[in-house]
Amino acid sequence: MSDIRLTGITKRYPRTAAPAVDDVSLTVADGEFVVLLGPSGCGKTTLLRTIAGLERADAGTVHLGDRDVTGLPPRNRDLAMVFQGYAVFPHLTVAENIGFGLRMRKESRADVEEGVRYAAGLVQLDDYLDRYPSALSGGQRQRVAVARAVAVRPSVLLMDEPLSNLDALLRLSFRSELKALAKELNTTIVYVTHDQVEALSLGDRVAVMQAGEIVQSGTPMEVYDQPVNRFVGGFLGTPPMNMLPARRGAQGWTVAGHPFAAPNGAADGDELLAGIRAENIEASTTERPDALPGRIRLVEPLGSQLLVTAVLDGNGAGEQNVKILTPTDFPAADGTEVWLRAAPERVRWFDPATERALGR
Amino acid sequence: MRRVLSYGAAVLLAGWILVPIWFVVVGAFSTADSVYSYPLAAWPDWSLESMRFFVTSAGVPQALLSSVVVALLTGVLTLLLAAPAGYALARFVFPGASAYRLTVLATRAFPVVVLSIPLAVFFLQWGIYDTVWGVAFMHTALALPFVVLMVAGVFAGVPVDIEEAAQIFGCSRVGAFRRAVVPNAAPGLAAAGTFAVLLSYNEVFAASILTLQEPTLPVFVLTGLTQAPLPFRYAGALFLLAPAFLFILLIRKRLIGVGGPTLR
Repeated sequence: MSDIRLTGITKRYPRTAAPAVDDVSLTVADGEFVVLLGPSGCGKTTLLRTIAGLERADAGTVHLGDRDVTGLPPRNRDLAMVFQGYAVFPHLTVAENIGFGLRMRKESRADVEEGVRYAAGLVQLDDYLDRYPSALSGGQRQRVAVARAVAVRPSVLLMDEPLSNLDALLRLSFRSELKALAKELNTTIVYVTHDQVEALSLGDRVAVMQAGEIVQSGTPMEVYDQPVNRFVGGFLGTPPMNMLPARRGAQGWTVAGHPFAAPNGAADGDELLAGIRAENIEASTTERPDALPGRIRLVEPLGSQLLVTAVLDGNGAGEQNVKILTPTDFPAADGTEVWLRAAPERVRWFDPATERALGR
Repeated sequence: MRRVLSYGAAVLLAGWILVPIWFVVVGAFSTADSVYSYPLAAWPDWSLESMRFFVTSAGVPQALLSSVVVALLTGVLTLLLAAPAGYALARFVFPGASAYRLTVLATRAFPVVVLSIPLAVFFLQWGIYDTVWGVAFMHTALALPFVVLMVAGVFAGVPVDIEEAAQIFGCSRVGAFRRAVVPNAAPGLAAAGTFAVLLSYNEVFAASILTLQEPTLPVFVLTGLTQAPLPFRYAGALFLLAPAFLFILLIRKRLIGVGGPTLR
């Protein structure tokens, strides 16, 4: 067990203009599960590899517990890692793979065996110990990789997109297993993914990265409900948050030419973006005075809900698409007139120039 | 029609190579009488007379031993030098990597004569002229360019992440190479080494310039060729052909993949 403290980590690759990781500081508490989330190329994997010691930062320090490991090679950092491409050793059996770290620590034969049995049990590999990885499925190989990491009882466990090579169904079940495993191990975990559902479902805390920086770090519900900028609002959630241009006129704020509740923060200019999640929009087929009128353009049944795309009646202000999630019994059909409203406290306001949330 | 043509071409090509080889086999495994008869039989009479005659001829056991020693030395030396070079080509991005790759091959643009004669002078000065070492050094130089590229292909085929995993789980860089890379590259490395061994075993020109009293087998067979009786020639030819034939059969899968992943 130990916490992780990153201070001012900067990493620049040769022949690239922008740094891959730009002055990032992050503290992960002992036993905390932190997910680094971001699109590809945002620097999340580079940051993880810097913690691992596979990448040397140009500036900044890495502390694990009270040790400064900035200059240490990976093997002296007392951590383990699960790789995206499994990275199991093809020439070793499952048992030898899982016991690799323990053998390298020169632990006694009995201890190695005990460790292998414990780790294999955690991921249900007991029946496969004598097999070679070539005789395993992708999901089983990733189990081997997880067991190999768990077997050394690391103070810090790093995971680099461990689920992304698995098919959709397997990913879902293995995700729950990983979460249960993390709870049982109670070790410090840093987990990298580009999948926002994975990030929200697994992490105690989600750190959203964009262009080499951590733009927001908070509990899953915080980053989902209170995105600090337009990027985070758009990156998390399926569908992404609706961003509706709002204007201040003589009669107050309007969206698509219709009156709209004023923002709860102080706005500098006369234009804002109203960020509203699809599930926070209430649709109705009967006219309501405080709702925005629109027309349904597309209906996509998702099984548990309907994903409805509506066009706001521009009223001279141009057309605006809105995504809405409705119950399946909502009478949605192409061309139907709908009235949409969102509770004012469910609207997140952004400054269109800085793209930052109001009051930030 | 295209199929017929391409199959026809394949049969023609295969025959071009195989028919002479078959006659060598027939000649080598027939009695002296049938070798001298005309026309030569299409099927050997499975006599070991010619072969026995060849291996017991004066000088042959010596030359065979020299050849084998030179070939094995060449294989080992080549691998020792090619492994680091190939690894660097496969793993590291460094300025001039592709130029280096080209330069490696360009060394083969020099004719062997141009290399052999000055080398013979050096070897005389160093006292390794007419020894297995001298020939092995020369053959190593000849094999290196190809083997470096082969080995680079082999290493490129070993995923980087298992090397990194080894480092995470307790290995140094060198340890990770030894414990994660080498075991997985071994079959490919063996194939590359075999290639060097064969190249050396069949090389005649440089070996004939660099040896006098201690010729390798191809040199010995070549020097005596015009005076040697027919059975001797057939058996000698088979001795030179057989190892290459067998090894290429064994490692052909690896040979096809030569340099594949590195030649992006």
